[in-house]
Amino acid sequence: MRKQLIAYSLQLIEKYKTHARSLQVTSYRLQTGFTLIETMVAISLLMLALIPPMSLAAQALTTAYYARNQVTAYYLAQEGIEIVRAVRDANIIAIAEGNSSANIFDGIPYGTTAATAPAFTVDALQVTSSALDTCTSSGCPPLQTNGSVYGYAPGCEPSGTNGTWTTSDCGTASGWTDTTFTRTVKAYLLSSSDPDEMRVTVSVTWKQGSFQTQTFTINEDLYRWVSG
Amino acid sequence: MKKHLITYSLQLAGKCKRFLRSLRPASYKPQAGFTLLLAALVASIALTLGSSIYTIVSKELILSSIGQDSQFAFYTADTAAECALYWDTRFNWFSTTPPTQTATCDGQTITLLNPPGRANTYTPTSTMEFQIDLFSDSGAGYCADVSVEKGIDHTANATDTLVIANGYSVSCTAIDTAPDALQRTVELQY
Repeated sequence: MRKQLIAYSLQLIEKYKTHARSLQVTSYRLQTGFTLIETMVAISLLMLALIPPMSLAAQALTTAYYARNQVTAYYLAQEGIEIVRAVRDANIIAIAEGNSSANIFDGIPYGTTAATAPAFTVDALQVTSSALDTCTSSGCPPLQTNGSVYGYAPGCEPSGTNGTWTTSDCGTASGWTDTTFTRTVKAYLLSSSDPDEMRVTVSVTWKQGSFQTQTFTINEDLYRWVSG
Repeated sequence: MKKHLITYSLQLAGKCKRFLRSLRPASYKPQAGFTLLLAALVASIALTLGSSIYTIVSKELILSSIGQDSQFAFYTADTAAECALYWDTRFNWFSTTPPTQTATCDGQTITLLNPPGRANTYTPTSTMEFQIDLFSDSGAGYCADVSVEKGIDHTANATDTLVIANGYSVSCTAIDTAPDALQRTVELQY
């Protein structure tokens, strides 16, 4: 029995020895992971490959927002000019219809010089002279939107012809929220001695990013081409 | 002696087993350079995406700038057209008789280019033309080129007027050289 056990043990040893020899690959190297330098080189290469396109995409996104705001701003500025013009043209029609007391610049809160011109707001939703409201010294309130049009929350605007704003922000009311745009309109006579030529200036200011403020301004001169 | 041999054999067997286990790394895979290919693929996709987005956006920016310039050009044309309308309807400035007033638009005196100096050779069907830089109080201003054409409508026995006002997004001196000068036109007929 013991003899057998010894023989078996010896056989077992021989078997393991053979097996172990067969497992020893001649070119085998031990893989214990990457070294620190290898990792750093790999990371820096990956950064070199990924950071430029990523920053390019990020910059493109910022520029896309800027382009979008610029388009919105110039349409808002155009609307501002057209509203003031519509008030002037309504007066021309009144004069043409025989209203002798009508003045072509009625309803437009204008100054005789650029320095004294009051800043006012216009609202496309109510194109009458009552929609032209002068702002306070702290500036005009930001334009609001209800999701489809720009304007001011109903009831927020001062009532009456050329009212004066009492608030600097309409807040959130009945679905209206503030936008980043503020539209300021000014009208003044180009020469105090010439009451026939009026400059209308519309400035749309908006916040671009966290710190930048952009402004788009357009001018238009309106003439008293109908006496009255 | 036999006992020792058995113990030794068993110890050796255990040793061999441990050695064999240590020789077998759990996660050993052959490195055939596939990672480099994948990295190049990811990098090229990212670069293509980034550059194509940038191309689209830079075109957007050009478009919005053109829109902006277009506004300047349009309101220059509109102001110039109104100015011509004002001097025509209120002072009959574009009549055959040389007017007494000096016409001004935006504080600038209007000087006719055509007919030069309002010569006597001027006929009612002539086209009068003037060029001014509007809104020049801040910056170079925007050029307005206005032509006023007077004609006689014989059937209605009235004067026809055609005002064509061209507004530019640059000043008059820069029109020929500016690479991005934009023109808008307003036409009045009465």
